Amino acid sequence: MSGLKAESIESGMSGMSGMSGMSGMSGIPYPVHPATTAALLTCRDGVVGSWRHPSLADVRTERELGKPDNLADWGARERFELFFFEIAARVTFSIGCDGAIPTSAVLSHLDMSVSPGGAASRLVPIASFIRPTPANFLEQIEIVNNYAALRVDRGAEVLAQMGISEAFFGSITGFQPDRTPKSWELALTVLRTAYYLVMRVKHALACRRPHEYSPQLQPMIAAPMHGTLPSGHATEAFTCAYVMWRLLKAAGRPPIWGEQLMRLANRIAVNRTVAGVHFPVDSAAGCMLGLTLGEYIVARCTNSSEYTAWRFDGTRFKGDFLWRALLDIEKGRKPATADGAAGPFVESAGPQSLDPAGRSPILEWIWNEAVKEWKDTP
Amino acid sequence: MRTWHEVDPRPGYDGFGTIDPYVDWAFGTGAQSAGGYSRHGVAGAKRPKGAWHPLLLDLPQVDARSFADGRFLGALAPADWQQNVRVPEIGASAQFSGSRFVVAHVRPAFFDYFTQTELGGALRSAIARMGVSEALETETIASPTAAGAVASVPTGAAEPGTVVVGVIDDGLAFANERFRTRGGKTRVAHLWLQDGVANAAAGRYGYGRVLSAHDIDSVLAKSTHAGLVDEDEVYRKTEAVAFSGTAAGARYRTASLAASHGTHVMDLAAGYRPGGVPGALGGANEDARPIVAVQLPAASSEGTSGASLDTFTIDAVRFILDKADEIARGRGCGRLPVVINFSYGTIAGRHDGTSDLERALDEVIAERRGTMAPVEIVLPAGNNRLKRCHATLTFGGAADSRIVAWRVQPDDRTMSHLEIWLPRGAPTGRVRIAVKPPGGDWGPALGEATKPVRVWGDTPDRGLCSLRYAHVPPPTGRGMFLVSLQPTEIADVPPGDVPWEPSPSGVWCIRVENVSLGEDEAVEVWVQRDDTRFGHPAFGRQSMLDDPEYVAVEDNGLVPDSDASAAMVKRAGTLNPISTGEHTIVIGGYCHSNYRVADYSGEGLAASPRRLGPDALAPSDESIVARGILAAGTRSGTFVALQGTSAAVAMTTRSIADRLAQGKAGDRDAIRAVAAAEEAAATGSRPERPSEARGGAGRLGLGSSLPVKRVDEA
Repeated sequence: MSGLKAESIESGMSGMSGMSGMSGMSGIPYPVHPATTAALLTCRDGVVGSWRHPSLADVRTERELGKPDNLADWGARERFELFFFEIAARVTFSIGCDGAIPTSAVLSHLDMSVSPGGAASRLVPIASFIRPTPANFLEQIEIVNNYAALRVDRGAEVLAQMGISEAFFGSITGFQPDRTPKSWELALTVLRTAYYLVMRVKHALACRRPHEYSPQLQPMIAAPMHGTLPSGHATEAFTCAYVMWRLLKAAGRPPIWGEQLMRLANRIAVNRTVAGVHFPVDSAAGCMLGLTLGEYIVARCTNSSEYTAWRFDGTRFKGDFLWRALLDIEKGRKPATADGAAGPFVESAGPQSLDPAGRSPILEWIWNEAVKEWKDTP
Repeated sequence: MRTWHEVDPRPGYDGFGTIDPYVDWAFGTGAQSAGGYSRHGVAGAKRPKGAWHPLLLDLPQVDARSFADGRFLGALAPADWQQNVRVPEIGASAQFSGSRFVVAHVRPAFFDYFTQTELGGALRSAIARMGVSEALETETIASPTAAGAVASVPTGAAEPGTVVVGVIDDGLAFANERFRTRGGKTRVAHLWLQDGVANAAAGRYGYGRVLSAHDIDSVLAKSTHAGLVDEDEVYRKTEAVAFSGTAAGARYRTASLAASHGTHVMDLAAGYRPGGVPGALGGANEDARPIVAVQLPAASSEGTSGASLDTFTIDAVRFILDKADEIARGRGCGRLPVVINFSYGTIAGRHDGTSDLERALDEVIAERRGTMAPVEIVLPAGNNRLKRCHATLTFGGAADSRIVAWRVQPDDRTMSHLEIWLPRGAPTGRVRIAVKPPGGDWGPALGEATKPVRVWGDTPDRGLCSLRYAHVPPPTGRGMFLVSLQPTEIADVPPGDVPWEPSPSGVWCIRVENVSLGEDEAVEVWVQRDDTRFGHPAFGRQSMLDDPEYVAVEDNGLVPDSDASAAMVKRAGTLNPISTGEHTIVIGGYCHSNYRVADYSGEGLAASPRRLGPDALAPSDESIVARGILAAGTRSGTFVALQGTSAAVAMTTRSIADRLAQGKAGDRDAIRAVAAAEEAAATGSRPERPSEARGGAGRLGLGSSLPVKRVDEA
């Protein structure tokens, strides 16, 4: 019955973005109807016979300790927790300070050797954020108001994307739990990681939502109960789009697949501005975080140990959110500067290199399994 | 306390029937202290002092250049004339300076000239008619260009099979692949976003943003990623759609929606799958159907009355002809034939072909008639037949009177207007009009006199309702009473402005009392259009006329074919009032599957001198279940069904372009002949030909004149 219980706990969290797809990965080996359990009890009584002590010859060889291939034996839900652990246990949060004044929110990789006598642990930057000033947000409020004109046109999308639905990514790539189960697990891992990390950054930056600046915006959905920047939807959508694109690219797909995934992520992000719950600058910060996390996760998954860290400075952002300012699908990431701004709002914090001893064979396993689903389709 | 006041018309406007009464309401009596219409439709609300208002002037004796520099006034010309009056270069160009219709941009101070005795007199004798459009947004005003070298009229033979298609509309998604060649280049040769942030190329036209095919191609190339055009990026880069930036730049653009009127219409008129443009001798020739497109200002589409579209429409037509000549010069050929699609309409007006816009359009068509490069303009019959916005009043004798109940909706954020038109004749006091507000008292009656203007409100200078009269000189030669109401909801009061009271919603009664009209002389009443345009945020709400004798539907649930004789409210007389001219081609709608004329398609007025109804019908619905006609949504690869005579017009435009390309006639007579021939040749059972008032010469598309469905994929 434990599977049932776990399921009911998870379904209680289904309102969280990124989690709605869990139902596609139930963790239950076969359907267990409550009536079936009673039947199993009486059925065993009829079948069991007298007890015989088993011998070792009855059991398959013991699994090798710590071997990544053991993952193949686990349930999908259990693997999901493992993948999530592999990423989450290594990402930490800190506040950057100028003297005693807190100025930024920083996500870092915790680089440490887990073997005796390894190198001392250190923080390797992933992404950092300086929040916009209230005056910056006030400039943005006009744009949010202008986008309200699209609410009727985009209403169905806004509602369907309240939790990021995998259906939208599935509609582009054709990925779904029955056909590409490992890619599905990877995508859910990525979405959950993005959600959990962006929440930590949002909590620290604690920026007010558009409706707190104007009583006239009247968002078309209930405003979420956490800070506005970075946009969680932009973060999740761009992380997922980036990882899916790298997966397809690794399987030999041309750039149009990445192009369409990014356009989708952009649409999901902008729809939140249409709804009236996000500023364009929130989407820009979320896009930066999403792409950066995507790159970091792919690095962890492919044992490359190399990725680039990025900085976001919300005080330098102006105007509307344009994802192409941050990414060229064929040439890669780039710094972004708004028209008339003093400096870039997104800039590189340099290439980073992780201790190869900290590699994650678990993440490499799921990546390789997922790539196969796209390479080896007939 | 709200009561009726007598107000003298603004000095200088007295007896000046040549001024559109709307001008007086906006600048004169209705707005003693202020600069005219606010964007949100309150007369009298403050506008920036420096705002430029486009005027449509009928100048029988004065040419555009002379008007621009004030020379025609001689010694009377005020020193600051040129600071208050501008005529964009296009109006003074060789091609158009001969026209009696001049579009000038004036500051509010221009209207003060009329208060000076001598100067006002000189202006009144020079200006035969004057109408005003919505003020231009500051960011849209282009730096004037000095009159440059005179561009030569293209000479020689036109390129065989090439026809320029002009589209004047809203929400033009010009990057859609339906307007691109197989090689990915745009087929839109020139584009004018009339309320775009001004650029240098717009200098010749005075305002907005002008883009050439070269400009569009360059943006298309820059916005192509992984082999796909990012159309959102194209609109951002061309500033056709912007949600941030300056006030004008951030104006709401309907091209950002999934479906827009302009894209649908432009696709039916001139859209082809890439590589599909028909050449002269069969096969494809992607250059054979260049598009010149004009996007009207969003404010005009949101605005209160069709009157505000006149200058923008005339400017648009001239832009299309100017650019058609530029295309011809670029190709080294003679002048090219042009067919222009203008799928717009309104409700109130003269309906006798003498409005300024209709005369200006007729002038353009007449000038090129019979040449190798004709200009055809195709207009809709309109979709307002069932809106109950028209009444015809006749009288049994002197002192007989009729009361019209005008139902004005709550939450109408724009002004409402009702026009009462008398038959042709001198203003001899033929009728008297009185108005009763909801819950209020009858005001004193007003005869055919321009003095006084009757105003209802707490004080005369903050009127909620006004009643005024003007006698519009020939060629109209008719008297018109105008009843104007402030919005019934004032949602937008600029900081520092005194809040304007809303006018009451409900039934406003208008009493028309006969004095000397004969039994065969009718008074025509129209409510002005005041609904919300397709894709625009809800703003105006359409008022209507209540009439217990009007039969909306019969017991069988169908709209009756003819009007009840006892009813004042009529379906006859609902033809689009810009579509009653002499040379324009007017198209109504019918249902493609059962051949019945669409109930909503505008019906002509028997008294109209120039036409009894539309010239022909074209499909405006696929069937009674599949409403509308399928054509492009805004983004490449998407299709939507939109209903109405706009679609019928656009398909006819396409067919006319095909005819002109084949060297056949495509004018009003020719299209009527095609429709009549198809009616005569049609076999099989179908409802008989609709009356002339409803269907003109007949239904296009019964034969081979119009391929319906996805028009080029048949």
